[in-house]
Amino acid sequence: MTTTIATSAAGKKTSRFRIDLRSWLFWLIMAVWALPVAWLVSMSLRDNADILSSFEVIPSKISLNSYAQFFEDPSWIGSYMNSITYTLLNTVLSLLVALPAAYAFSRYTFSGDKHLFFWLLTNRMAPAAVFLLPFFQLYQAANLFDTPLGVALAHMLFNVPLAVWILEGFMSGVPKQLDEIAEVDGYRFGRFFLTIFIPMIRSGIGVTAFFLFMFSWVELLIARTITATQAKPIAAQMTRTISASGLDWSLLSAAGVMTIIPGVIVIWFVRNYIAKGFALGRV
Amino acid sequence: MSTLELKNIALHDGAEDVMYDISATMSSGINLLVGPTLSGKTTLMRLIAGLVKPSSGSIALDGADISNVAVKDRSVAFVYQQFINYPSLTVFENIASPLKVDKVKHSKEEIAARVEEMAKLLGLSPFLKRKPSELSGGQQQRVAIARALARKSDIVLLDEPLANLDYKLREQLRAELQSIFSEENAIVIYSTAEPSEALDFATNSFVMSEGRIIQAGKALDIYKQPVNVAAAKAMADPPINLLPSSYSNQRAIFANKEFQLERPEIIGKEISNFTLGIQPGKITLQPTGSNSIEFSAEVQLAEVTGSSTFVHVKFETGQEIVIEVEGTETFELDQRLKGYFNPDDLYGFDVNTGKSIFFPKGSVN
Repeated sequence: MTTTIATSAAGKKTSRFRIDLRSWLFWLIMAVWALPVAWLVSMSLRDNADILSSFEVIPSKISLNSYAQFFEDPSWIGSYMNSITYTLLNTVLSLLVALPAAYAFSRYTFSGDKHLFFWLLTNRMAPAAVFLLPFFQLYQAANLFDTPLGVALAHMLFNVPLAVWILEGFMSGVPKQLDEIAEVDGYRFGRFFLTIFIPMIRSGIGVTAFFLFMFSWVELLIARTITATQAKPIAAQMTRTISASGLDWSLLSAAGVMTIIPGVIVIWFVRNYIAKGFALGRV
Repeated sequence: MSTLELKNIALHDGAEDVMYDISATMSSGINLLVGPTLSGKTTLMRLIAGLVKPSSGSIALDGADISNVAVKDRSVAFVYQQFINYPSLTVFENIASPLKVDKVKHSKEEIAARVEEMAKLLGLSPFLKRKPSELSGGQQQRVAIARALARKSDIVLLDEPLANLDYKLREQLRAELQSIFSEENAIVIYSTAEPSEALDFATNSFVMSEGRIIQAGKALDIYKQPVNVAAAKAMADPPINLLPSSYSNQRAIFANKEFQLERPEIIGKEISNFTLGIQPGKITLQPTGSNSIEFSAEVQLAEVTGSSTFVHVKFETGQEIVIEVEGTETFELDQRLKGYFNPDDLYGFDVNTGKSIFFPKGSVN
């Protein structure tokens, strides 16, 4: 009896020690990862003079001046809204195009379907720079230059294939008999697709939307090239902050923090789908 | 009383033939499609539902050709072997969905009343607010059946609906289905790979094999007088024993045993060999009468099911047969065993074509 207790106690001890080690490692890694972000937040809350004069991670004097400046200056808040506009536009348009396409790939066989499916992905293989010149010329001609819609359309070039690829995996997870049962039951296709099918793959759509948003949000090269002033993205604005007085550290940091926020919000919304989604789909 | 007529239906997939010249008339009540897997039961049902277009031939309901009617406009309901329901809808919404999308508009009260009626009929009343995934397999299939019945379709297709359920549930649901469908006016087409299920329904049956309907009639009649080996196999559970035999001067050789075989069907015909068939249950371990033929063989394997034991025995010639013994008995491996059969219980099939030559005596009406 006593021996059993002794061994179990010893076992507990070692396992607790292990968990401790693991969680320490976890926090260490988290700290390393979080450091640049923490630094960014810290800088955004300090004045330029303060940033340049003293070295500190936790600010001793908090100032929200740079955030005020960010929201007041139309070139900052304007480009921020531009980015949000074309990213959302791109997410919605890509999904609208990719949903029927993915359905076709998942449900029908037609000659060359597998090659076409793979060809879609190859669109992602070319560097974005390849498309810069044609886009620039084309958009000038089509009056899409310097518009959020133009950027959204350009980003669809690589986002639609990705969306089709992800969604097809999810759709193929739904048995085809379900489509047939609905047809036999008398469902019109549109109604079936919207009221039965879409709800079934909503986690897939969540995951897809996350990727679409993310890729469009961080893309800079195309977005910068096909815009001038009206639809300038926030990231482009951030690269143009060197003035005669040098870099505006604080404002730039504030813009950086603001740029991280939409991503955080999107992740917050799809966080439940992501884990489930990755398990189901075949990303 | 309505009738569904299949006229010379054939289906090709590329160069491959899937269905050959299927003609059949099915009427209100349960019609069985019996046959092993891949015999074409599901494909035939999909043809009737309109999910697949026949390469040639036509389908007529009460005389009206429905071959070109779109799937959603056909008065058809389908229940798959896998429990297919709308996962995002509740049980109530699932059963109500065919009514909601029906061309004939139904009021909310009407739909609710019909759903509750169906739920009551299939014992689903306590689960109406649940999602299908929160139900057991048997309950999920009940939902699918309730949904199929809700709209009062002219044709109800049930593709091995009980195959994925455990034995007890299957027995229970089968009995329920029989009583439910006896009240309906619909043409119910029910497919099964299990002969015992077909015999249990004891109704109009169509035996399918390799994309053809090879025999139609009452299940028991087909069991007694199969047109060929395939039909005999499809209707026999446990599988029928088949042994190639030679024959001359009214004497047949079954495995290592020579015996007198007098059948009017073969007297005077030039037959030197045929395939003899006998149901495992017709072979006994004790002589049953004066004309019992005794044979001996070695025990290879004994399978004990709940109520009977299947003994696999092997002759010196290497041929094997199965004997069904009532109750549970134990057998030693390689033990020699004496068995008895009555020549009157034998089926005879043509060696080459598989066509029936004679049936057990007493089965001829």
